Amino acid sequence: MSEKFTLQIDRQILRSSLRSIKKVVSGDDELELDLNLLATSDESIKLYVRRFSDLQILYEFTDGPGVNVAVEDPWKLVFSSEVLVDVINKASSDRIQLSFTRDRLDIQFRQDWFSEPTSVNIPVFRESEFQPPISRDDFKKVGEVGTEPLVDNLKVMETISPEVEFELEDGNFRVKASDIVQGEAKAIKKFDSSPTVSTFSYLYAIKPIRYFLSSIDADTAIMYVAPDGSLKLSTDEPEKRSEMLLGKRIRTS
Amino acid sequence: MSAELSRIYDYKDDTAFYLSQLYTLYSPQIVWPDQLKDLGYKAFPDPKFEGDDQVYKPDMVAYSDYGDVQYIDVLHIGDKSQIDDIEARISSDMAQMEAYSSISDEMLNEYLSHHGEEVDPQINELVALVTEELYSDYRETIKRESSNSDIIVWEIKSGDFSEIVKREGKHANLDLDDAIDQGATPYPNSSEVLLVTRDTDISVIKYEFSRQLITYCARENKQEFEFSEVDEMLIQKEPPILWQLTEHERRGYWQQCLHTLLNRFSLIEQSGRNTYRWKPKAFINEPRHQKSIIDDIREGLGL
Repeated sequence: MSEKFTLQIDRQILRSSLRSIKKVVSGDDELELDLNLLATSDESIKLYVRRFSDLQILYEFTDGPGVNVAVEDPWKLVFSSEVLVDVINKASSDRIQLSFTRDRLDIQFRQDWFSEPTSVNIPVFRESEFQPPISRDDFKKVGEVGTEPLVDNLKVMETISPEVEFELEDGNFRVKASDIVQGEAKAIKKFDSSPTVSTFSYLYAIKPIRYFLSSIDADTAIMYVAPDGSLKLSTDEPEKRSEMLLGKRIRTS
Repeated sequence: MSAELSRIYDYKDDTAFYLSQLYTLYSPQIVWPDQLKDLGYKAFPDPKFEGDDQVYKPDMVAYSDYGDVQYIDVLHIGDKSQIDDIEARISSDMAQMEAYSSISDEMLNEYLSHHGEEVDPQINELVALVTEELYSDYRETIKRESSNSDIIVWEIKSGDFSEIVKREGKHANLDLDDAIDQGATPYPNSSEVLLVTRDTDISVIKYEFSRQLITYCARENKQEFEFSEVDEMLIQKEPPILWQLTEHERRGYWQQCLHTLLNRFSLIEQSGRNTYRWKPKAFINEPRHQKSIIDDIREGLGL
């Protein structure tokens, strides 16, 4: 059977991406997760999950030191990720190769002592229909956020409320959490360069932001916001682009 | 209801009990012989009068179309072992009532307007409602203070049916004076019209709050709620807890109660800003399970 596309990747890179996807989307709940995979002719493979229209986490792999992408046929598929995640977690080799054929996933990894790479072949099952990734052009850059400081602050804010407000006014970026019962917390950062957005104030769930930023190696991520209040955080690491889209929360109180 | 509560704490020895008994003489909720409301009196428990940087909080205010206004305080000492000099305490409590003379007509009507009422005050009277025990043990002190501070004294006598009877002083309205001189009998199950006051032990309020909230949410299958919905959910009960306070005042109590449910008992968790949801172990519809959770709360609160 001809392979549609092949991804050779450092096991750690893939493992942390899959773990981050699961955490961001399902939080602390045990949800079944269908992964979407999109391999396009520009030799990139996108791995992503969409939750309705208010959350998407996406990793795009392209050739680089830890990654090798070969796309025979541009292909899209969606599949239930449990077995893949388990195999990736348990295999102990440094590098993993994933090959997708029409309805099967072939995982290969080298194990010392054995003559040939160990091969795990799993059928591709799915619960949901393939969905193309959300791609919008109305995001405007707000600025660079320090991933670690923001994560630390969000951890504290989560004791006040599971939701956080991101606010921009006169170049001041404010992060606020408030709850009538628990209290209030806030932090401010003055952006050096003026962002392309002027003023906004939107409410977001803390957990997806916190989990996503924790999964990034880079010190900073770029924050964007769209007119409807959707948030985008993204970062470019050598062979992996990480991106999260998060819709704003709507509350009456 | 009151029997159940007296198992929990010494309800019979609490200001809320005496105030509720007194209030039944005025309450529009019940029909009962010889109520003071039949003479044209209206009353509101736990009022709050604000003005000129001062806040006055007598236990009750009553008034009639005649224009006579009574500011009433319940005089009762719960735990006598805590007090060294009871006489001094009675004297000072009664003397402090004189401050109510500073409640202006504007302040009174400002408060009454929250209830959609108003009055044209002609005369203000101070009334101390004393318990039978206090009156019999400290009669001289009470008579003296009554005379010094111009306070009319009513005594509430206990029994299967209580009786409220005037002991000192005279009312401007002769109808009222006669009626209370002869004695008025409160409706026995007074907790039906007033359960807790602003001064009731906060643990009791938390307990009642939790009980009502859990029962309501279980019945309506309401897994999640916003802070703004809480007041309405508690108003469902008869009588609504702290109905006599303004919604703004009740808010402060709900904050405290939710804080306890959230942080101390961990029965709810935050699902969003100002939004809470029952944790799985708490939210079960079986009455027996609900009851055991409510019992645990009662124990946890030391009741």
